[in-house]
Amino acid sequence: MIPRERIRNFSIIAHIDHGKSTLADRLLSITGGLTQREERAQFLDKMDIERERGITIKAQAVRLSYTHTDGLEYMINLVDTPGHVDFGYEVSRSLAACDGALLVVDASQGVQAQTLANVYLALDNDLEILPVLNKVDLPAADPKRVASEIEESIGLDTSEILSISAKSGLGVETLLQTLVEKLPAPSGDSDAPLRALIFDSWYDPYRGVVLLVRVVDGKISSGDDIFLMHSSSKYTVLEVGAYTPHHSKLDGLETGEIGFVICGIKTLRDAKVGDTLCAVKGAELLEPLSGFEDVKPMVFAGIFPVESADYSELGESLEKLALNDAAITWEVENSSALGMGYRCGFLGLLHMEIVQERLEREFDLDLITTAPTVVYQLKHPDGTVETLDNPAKFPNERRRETIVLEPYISAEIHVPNEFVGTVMRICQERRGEQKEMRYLTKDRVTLSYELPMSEVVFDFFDVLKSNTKGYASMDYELSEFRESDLIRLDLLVNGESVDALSLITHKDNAYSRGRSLCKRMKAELPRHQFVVAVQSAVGNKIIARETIPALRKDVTAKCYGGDISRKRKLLEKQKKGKKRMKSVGNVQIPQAAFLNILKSD
Amino acid sequence: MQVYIHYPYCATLCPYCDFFSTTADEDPGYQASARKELAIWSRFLEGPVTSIYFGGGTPGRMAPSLCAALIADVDKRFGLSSSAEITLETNPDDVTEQGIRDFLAAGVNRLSMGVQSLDDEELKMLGRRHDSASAIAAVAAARAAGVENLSLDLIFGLPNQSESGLKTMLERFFALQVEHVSLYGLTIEEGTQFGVDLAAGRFTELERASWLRMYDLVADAASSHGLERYEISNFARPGRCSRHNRSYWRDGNFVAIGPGAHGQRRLKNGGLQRRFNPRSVKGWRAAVESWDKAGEFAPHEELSPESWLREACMVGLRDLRLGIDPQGWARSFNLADETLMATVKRLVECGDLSAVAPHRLLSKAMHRVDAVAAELLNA
Repeated sequence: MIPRERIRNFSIIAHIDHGKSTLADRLLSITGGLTQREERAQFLDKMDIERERGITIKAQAVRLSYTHTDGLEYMINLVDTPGHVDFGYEVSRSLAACDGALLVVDASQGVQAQTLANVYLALDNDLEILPVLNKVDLPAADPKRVASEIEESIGLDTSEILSISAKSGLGVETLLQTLVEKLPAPSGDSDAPLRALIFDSWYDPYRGVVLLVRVVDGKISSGDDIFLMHSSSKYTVLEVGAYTPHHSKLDGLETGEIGFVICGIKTLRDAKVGDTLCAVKGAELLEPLSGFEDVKPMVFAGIFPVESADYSELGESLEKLALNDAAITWEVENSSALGMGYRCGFLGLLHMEIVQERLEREFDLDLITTAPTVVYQLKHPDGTVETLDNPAKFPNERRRETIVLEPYISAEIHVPNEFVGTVMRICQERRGEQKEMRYLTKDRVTLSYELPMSEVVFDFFDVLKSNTKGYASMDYELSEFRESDLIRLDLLVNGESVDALSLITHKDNAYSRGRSLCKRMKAELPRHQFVVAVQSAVGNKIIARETIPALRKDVTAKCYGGDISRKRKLLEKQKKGKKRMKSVGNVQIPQAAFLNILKSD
Repeated sequence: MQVYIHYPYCATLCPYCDFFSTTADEDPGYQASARKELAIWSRFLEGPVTSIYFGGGTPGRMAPSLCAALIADVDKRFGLSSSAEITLETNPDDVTEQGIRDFLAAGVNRLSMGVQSLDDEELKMLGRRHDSASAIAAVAAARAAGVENLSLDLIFGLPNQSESGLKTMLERFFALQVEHVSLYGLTIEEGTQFGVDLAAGRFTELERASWLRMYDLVADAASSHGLERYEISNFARPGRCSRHNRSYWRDGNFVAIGPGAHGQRRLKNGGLQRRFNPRSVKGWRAAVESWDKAGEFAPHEELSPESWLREACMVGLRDLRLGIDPQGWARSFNLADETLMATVKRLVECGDLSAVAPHRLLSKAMHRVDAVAAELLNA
């Protein structure tokens, strides 16, 4: 057994593409965790979607064995955290399971907002932070500048900053040595009653729910009767172990160790991230570990089957999906345009895309997802507060005394100073309020904004990126609900209102929103045998209109210079297109239109 | 085997026209490239040629000597059948009696004139340079020059056109006593001036129901003047059907000359190979040169026998007299396509097609020809 002094628990903080997964893989291969055959790219990202998108959704914890130059063997637990703002809570819990962190910064790109946000999270959790410059072998690398940026923006001492190339392996051995020397060993009381932090969990079809835990005090062994303090449920431990990175069974996990616990939990809902695991005996005398939150969905959208017959299958698929996704919520939604489906809640847009993709991929469903919306609040004169997650339910005629509140976020946007003007314009267009502007260095700026979440949720980040040559980075958190002058904008197709295309917007933006909505719809709709009119309306008032001309009525006297292929393609296209369309009245609306109407022009 | 020759030059562009056309002067290399292209095609296809069609653009504006040279070349390269139909498209304002005489002397024996309407307001809207009086005069001039086989183009379905107005105009139109009428229901194409105007909301398209009633009005007027509807939008006196028009798909081989033209050759197994010319004179001329060097057929599209069979049904449906014979066609190339045959059977059962092969489109399905065609194509 390795004594606690020789345990190091750490995670890697890095911006997307700054090389976190590559470094993790490199550490695995240096310490002999992977055979050559297994050294495929990004071993730790297990889900297909994770690998394809190059992002980490679920946290992972790998136990490595490392022999230091002092001749002693160390146990190194690497916790790989999710890398997206949608999963911020999971990140904070993963960091809470660690004692130290490597801050990996791309030596050419420098510090990004998201990195900064995670550094602050790490500092909040009292982690020792070891700065590392990655990709120093690239021609564009400017280690000096980036090091001083780290020093100025975060206040870390960079006099002994490590320079590595995770890709080539340069400096990674030294990194391991330094890590052992500089990062602290875990604290904790091995004689105290068991308390372990659950920092992630997932569903394994063969083993049930697997909990990733950090033992804070005491010890956990197979056969123990345990209690989850926030869920208030009891289980018996069936198996404990660690990932090396392979699933390896152990007799127990000691104070300070990180590993997995399997105890027959059936669904992820019962295994809340941030919960405290303790022994059944004496549980009532213990304090739960701090930092627990119930994760609440921030973004809502309707998910409908293209074929209405698939409705019950969609419900079953959501049930199965939720075994492995504790954050998603759903309830039945009935749309006059799209029929029966579900109103689903997500952590953010990425989460929504992942859910939709998994439903289509793993359950082979053909789906329509409606435009995402945030949760609004209606404060009625009698003091009751109604939450509203569906534009279709937004009252067009409401009592004067009813107040509408919308969620705002505090955003930190990090950008080179040449783009400050651009970013300010984008934020202003989206009703943002500037709070602060800080120069991190002489040419890097952090802008703090309060923004309505509804303005950010859909494509704000894309717009930000594309207008700053990809340099802007952003992090945000929910700040408050504010009173706002909001109205419902309806879309009419040939005079018929399509509830699934309604959206909520600020009154001042209604006209421009209405116009762009019609334009967008025109671009999305195929031509029909008849003219299709698309209108947007506020209440009974039409505010914009677009007309989609009818399909060619083909009785042309001649083939165009013998161009039969063209005619064939015209007719072929009509049929193929139909598969993924939804009929609203006699108009066929393509699946993607319901989501795409929110896109900016 | 047939030859289509595209002459893209026009005095002005019409706002509805979607063929490749230009108001530029004739490229000095047009003749040489066209003749070279004929020579190249003759490496791959054999005559005799039963139809030559000069389309455009306005081929009536070409020099009769150019027309004569091209006809002579077709004869030299492929052999021209003695009864070949040789059609020339022209516009009323490009017609002179002498000019037509020269074209007839060059070998042209059928004239297709873009009259379009006899309503002066409509002609203005269509961007035509002629009015109804000059159209009538042009028909007289063609007759005087000796044209015996005359076809007129007619457009209906203009925005704001009324059914009664159309009726009155049709009386005058059919009084011209021509052999053939090609009907064109106005559709607004993106990329044409009308497309831009429609998008800008300068006018609205006719409603489909009204459009279809007008279609029927024209068909009724044609039949009461002795012209039979032999094709979904073509009408002719007995024996005056356009041979070129109706054999596009039956023969399988046609030579395409000029920018924007499409040609094809039939393969032994029943499949097709197609070549598409670029829609610019310069591009086309360059393509002819590089094709000459390549020495191979180099198709832009290849159709399997199975795809051809379905496409033949799609196009053949338009021929109301000859109809389609998928069973017979499949047999002649040893093809089997049960789903297509099942679809034919279903269409027969629901009354869209006649019961016995060759299956003809029945009148109740006339307005849905594209939908029926799509069913066969996508069976």
